[in-house]
Amino acid sequence: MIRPIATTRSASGTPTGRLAVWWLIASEVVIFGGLLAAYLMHRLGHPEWASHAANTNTWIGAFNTLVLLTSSLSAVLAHQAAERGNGVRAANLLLWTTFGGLIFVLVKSYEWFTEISHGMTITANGFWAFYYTAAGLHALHVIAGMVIMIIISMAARKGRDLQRVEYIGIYWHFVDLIWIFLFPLLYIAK
Amino acid sequence: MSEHTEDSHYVKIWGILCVLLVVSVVGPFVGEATGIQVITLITAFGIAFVKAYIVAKNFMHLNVEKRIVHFFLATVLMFVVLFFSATAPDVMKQEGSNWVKTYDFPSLQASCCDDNDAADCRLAGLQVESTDHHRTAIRCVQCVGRPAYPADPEACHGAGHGEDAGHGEGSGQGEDAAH
Repeated sequence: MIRPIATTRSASGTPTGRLAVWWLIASEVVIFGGLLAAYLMHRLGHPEWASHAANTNTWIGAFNTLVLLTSSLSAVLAHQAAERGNGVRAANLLLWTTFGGLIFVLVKSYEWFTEISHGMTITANGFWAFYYTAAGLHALHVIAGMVIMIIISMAARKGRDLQRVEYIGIYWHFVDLIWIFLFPLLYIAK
Repeated sequence: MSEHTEDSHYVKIWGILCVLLVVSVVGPFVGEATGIQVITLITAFGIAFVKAYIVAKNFMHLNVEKRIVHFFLATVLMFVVLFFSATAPDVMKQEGSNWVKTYDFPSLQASCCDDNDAADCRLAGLQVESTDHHRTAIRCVQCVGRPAYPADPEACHGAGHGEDAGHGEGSGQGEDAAH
């Protein structure tokens, strides 16, 4: 099979694929960083938002944090398995990571359903607008990561493109990292 | 490093992250119970930075990554800080050396009247000191027409309104003002 030249050269000393993932993450830092910075300044400027933030469920947020941290563990273990050339183990661990993402999304869906049914919608006020925008954008990244992981795990099971296991792992850890900041901002600060 | 040792290293990192998660959840409860706000800040936000550092270093392997990646990340983080510092004063402050923000006052005043929120009253430029009856009467004027407040501005200056409205920032203040 003819490989694209971008996958075979490395001008920076970093494999091009990995460099591309870091480039993607750098752009994501601006997206999420801008959103969180905007939230932070509005939150500090509107002390009354604390009464709205009091309605978020800290325990659900904490559980979802645990789920993402655990899925990050399986992602890094998948990377280690890929480094050793064990594609089957890497694929299985990636599927476990995907399962973690699925639990996260299901719990999030339940949480949103409860909040929306109690009138806490995206148009209710500024806090809920930021809450749904930030958590929703993050959830979209979780879903995208799950789809990519399933695709990569299918190839990895056949021993193909094992370097991609590391790439999706870096992305998944970044998604975890964003949640690490969303959790105190949306659930703990009341 | 053997296969087992490598994996157990990552499990250990995960264990540390879980412990930090517990601290970040319990800490704010302790901060609230003791009234020491710094505990909440450190355990909620300080630990978030520690967790992020651990994930970036150990799971993303940023510590062994090429310098160009660090350059990427430092550059974009600088832009985020620039964005925040350039726009935050306009959002967070009501007035500056040569400007006054008026567009947000109505929402703050509404929150002040409806939720009886003293912090909003101050942000909206209304005085809530319990000892200054004249200024609390002004606050009553700002809230005229809202539930539990008089429909007529003059009524705020009637007997007892300024004094009643000035009796603290607790619940029932609006009702007092309407009597």
